[in-house]
Amino acid sequence: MEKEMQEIAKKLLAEKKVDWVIGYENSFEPGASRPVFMNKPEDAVKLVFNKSCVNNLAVYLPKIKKQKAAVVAKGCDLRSVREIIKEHQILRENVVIIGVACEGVESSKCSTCTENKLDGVDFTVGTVKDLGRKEDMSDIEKFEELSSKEKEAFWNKEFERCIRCYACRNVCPVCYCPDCFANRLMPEYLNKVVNTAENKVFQQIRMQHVFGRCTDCRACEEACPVGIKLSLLTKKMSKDAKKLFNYESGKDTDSRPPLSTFKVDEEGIAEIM
Amino acid sequence: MANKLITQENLKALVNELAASYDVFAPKRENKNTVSFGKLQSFEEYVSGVLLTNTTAKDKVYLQSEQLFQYELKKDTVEFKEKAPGKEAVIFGGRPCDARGFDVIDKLFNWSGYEDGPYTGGRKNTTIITVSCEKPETTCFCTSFAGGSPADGKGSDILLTPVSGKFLAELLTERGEKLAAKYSKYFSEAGDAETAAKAEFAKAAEAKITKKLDLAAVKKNLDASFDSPYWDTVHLPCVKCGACTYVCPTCYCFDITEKKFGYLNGERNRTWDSCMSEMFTKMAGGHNPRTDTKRRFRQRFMHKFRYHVDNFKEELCTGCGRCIRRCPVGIDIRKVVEEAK
Amino acid sequence: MNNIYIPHKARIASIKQETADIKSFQFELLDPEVRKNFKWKSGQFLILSVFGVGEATFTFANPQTRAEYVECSIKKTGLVTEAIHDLEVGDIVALRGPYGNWFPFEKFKGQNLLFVGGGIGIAAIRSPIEYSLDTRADFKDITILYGGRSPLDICYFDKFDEWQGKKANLVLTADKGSEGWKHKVGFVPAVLKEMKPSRDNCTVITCGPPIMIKFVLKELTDLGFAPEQIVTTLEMKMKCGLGKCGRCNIQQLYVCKDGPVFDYAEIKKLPDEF
Repeated sequence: MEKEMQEIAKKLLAEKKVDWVIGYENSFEPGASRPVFMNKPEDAVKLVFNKSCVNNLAVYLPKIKKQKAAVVAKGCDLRSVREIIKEHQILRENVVIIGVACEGVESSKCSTCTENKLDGVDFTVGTVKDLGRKEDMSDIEKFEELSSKEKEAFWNKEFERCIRCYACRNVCPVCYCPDCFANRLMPEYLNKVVNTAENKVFQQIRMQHVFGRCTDCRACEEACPVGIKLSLLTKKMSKDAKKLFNYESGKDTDSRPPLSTFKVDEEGIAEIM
Repeated sequence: MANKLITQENLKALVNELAASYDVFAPKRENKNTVSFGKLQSFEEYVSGVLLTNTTAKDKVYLQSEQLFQYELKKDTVEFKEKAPGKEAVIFGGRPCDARGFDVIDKLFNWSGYEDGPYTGGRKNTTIITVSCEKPETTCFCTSFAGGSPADGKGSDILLTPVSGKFLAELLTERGEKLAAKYSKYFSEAGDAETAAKAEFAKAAEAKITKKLDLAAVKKNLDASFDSPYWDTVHLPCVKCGACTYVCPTCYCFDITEKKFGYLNGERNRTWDSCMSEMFTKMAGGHNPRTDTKRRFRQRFMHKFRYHVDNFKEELCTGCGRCIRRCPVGIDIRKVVEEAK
Repeated sequence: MNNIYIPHKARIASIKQETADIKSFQFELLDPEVRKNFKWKSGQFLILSVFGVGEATFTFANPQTRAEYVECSIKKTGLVTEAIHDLEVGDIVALRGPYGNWFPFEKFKGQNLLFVGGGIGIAAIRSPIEYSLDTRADFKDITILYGGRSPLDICYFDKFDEWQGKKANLVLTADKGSEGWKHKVGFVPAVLKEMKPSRDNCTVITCGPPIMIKFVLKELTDLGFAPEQIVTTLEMKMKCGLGKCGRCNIQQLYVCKDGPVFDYAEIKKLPDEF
């Protein structure tokens, strides 16, 4: 599979079809990989694909601006690529999607992965299989049953150790706002003091901003240096998006994210008055 | 300074006794993947098996959010109130690279003609007991630095090294000697055999470090490569989050901000800041010398291995490798500075 | 605890509207002991606290020879400066300093001085201008070239008579003139070129927007000035002001500690982008 990927990348760069190929290369120790940007055909041999290729490379797409890039995308990453195209952060013709038939990487999301098709890619590396995995919302349902006080205690404990490094925001493919609310002084949404209360406010606002656009790719949870359980939030959001708006993010490039549309009568939301 | 011995049993008892009267911070498990410095209630909570904590002990002395003073506006004047000094603290179970980090930033907080009271006040109140490393990881490179080693005592008050089933306790500073004297019932004298065993331990641990940077060559490369196109491409995978700066034992850059409690009172705070942030050098009016990501990326490495060396004759790094492990995209600081040209 | 971040309490003694967005403030330090011992030199800066909003860096607009108050000329630009503009006489603020280095006047003794200022940059050089006028005998010819975007953007009209009275040649210019404007019309670098200042025994002190500095530098170089003869004051975002927070650096130099006053020989060694 790696050789196939390297050949595709080499050809794309040699024929100058793209300015950059964004893929994975070996990292600081065996069994670890990391994103790599290459612009020379001879660099293509660096490309790898294995269980450690957890990063969601779609995060780089809003940054390539007017250039053309090829990006290696697993089924889950592909959903983020579609969201970014849908939100006009990049033109479809400026991206070459190298889809990878992934059977799972070292992440908590893989055991319930239902991405069995790589629709809309330009190349497919490997053979796509239906691995018979099913979605499992039992951990969310269990959490929902906790009392308000228990939930609050849980999140207070998690966000006590947040160091506001913003790794979660910066690795998120749909957090591309150049003028993030967290940076603003006028008005001040978020005080610079780092404590549980401010940390929760940051994450709550961020989650609201990505609701319906987040594909539960777990990049935020993987990036967090102190292991905050952000997947509970992202998974819950995808559950709610389905329930309230019958919407799944990243399935196509045409449908509109639910918070960007308005219907007078929303089926999923009960009338308050 | 003197060398003492302490048994595992006595160490446990010592830490338990310290926890009763000091704030003892040691590696504690937060969840399956996270071990950080937290306040110990008892020795049982101490996680000794992990080489490096996720974050450093830096925030126990150099607080991430520190109140510089509170103000209250009164008729025709304003009153300032400073917070009371904290309890005496012990940082137990850090590694030589963590302790060395304190030594590096101590110098900064005493530099430029000003002694930084909020930092040095906390620092004077803190005793650092470090445990030497037996099995460095692939991301460790402490031996690249002058005197750096998995068993080095720079920055520590007491250095514990496992020898012959016990610990050799090197009392390296006055503060270390004071603590050992106060709890002398737990310590016994060390002999030449144990001191020799420690030297063996250090040698074996140092040999396990796979990568050693040639810092003189790195400095030369960085001196020459400021305008090099190297920086145009090497920064691309970096997402400019700042995780590296917050888990680093030597990153010290900070911000000063205000928080209002009401119309008349509030506080002035000092908080960690990261050179990777877009706001770091942005001025009112919008001008930003480091507006693009390449410049911010370059600034970090230049500061650590070139500018700080120019001003302090030592690198702003201790080779702990946390930035490599915690970086969401695996940027390796060793590779970046070595290949700069 | 030696808390270097606690500022000196002060009161706003007077406010003068210079232009639409620039006000000059006079601050009176509250503590008489502090007032007695608070001394600064032209070129240094202070950090002003607006309670509830934050701190910001300003240069001392008045020289040490006129130290009854601490004066700053402040342009409304962002969070803190907007809050400052809303303050009134009698309001309580605080300031800490003086920080930074200063104009080395001992080196300029016996020379001609040429001050070139643009826009709000005049606030930074008003202090050395007035210092040199107060020690007039130490210097030969003093010339002041000052320009603004338009006549409405020129500050310190009330001082010009005094400056000229103390034997300074004053040349005013506006990028764009208006009815009743009796002085020159044109960009500062162009007027400078017209003036043809001699480089013999002359030091130039300049401050203004980067684009003006760039062209002023070019004109001076064309006229044969050596980089050591041209002195300016640089600006970077600052927080601590005393060399600790790590943000105002240009390579290994900190603008708050090794500056803000630099001469062009030093600046030439630095890269264009930081």
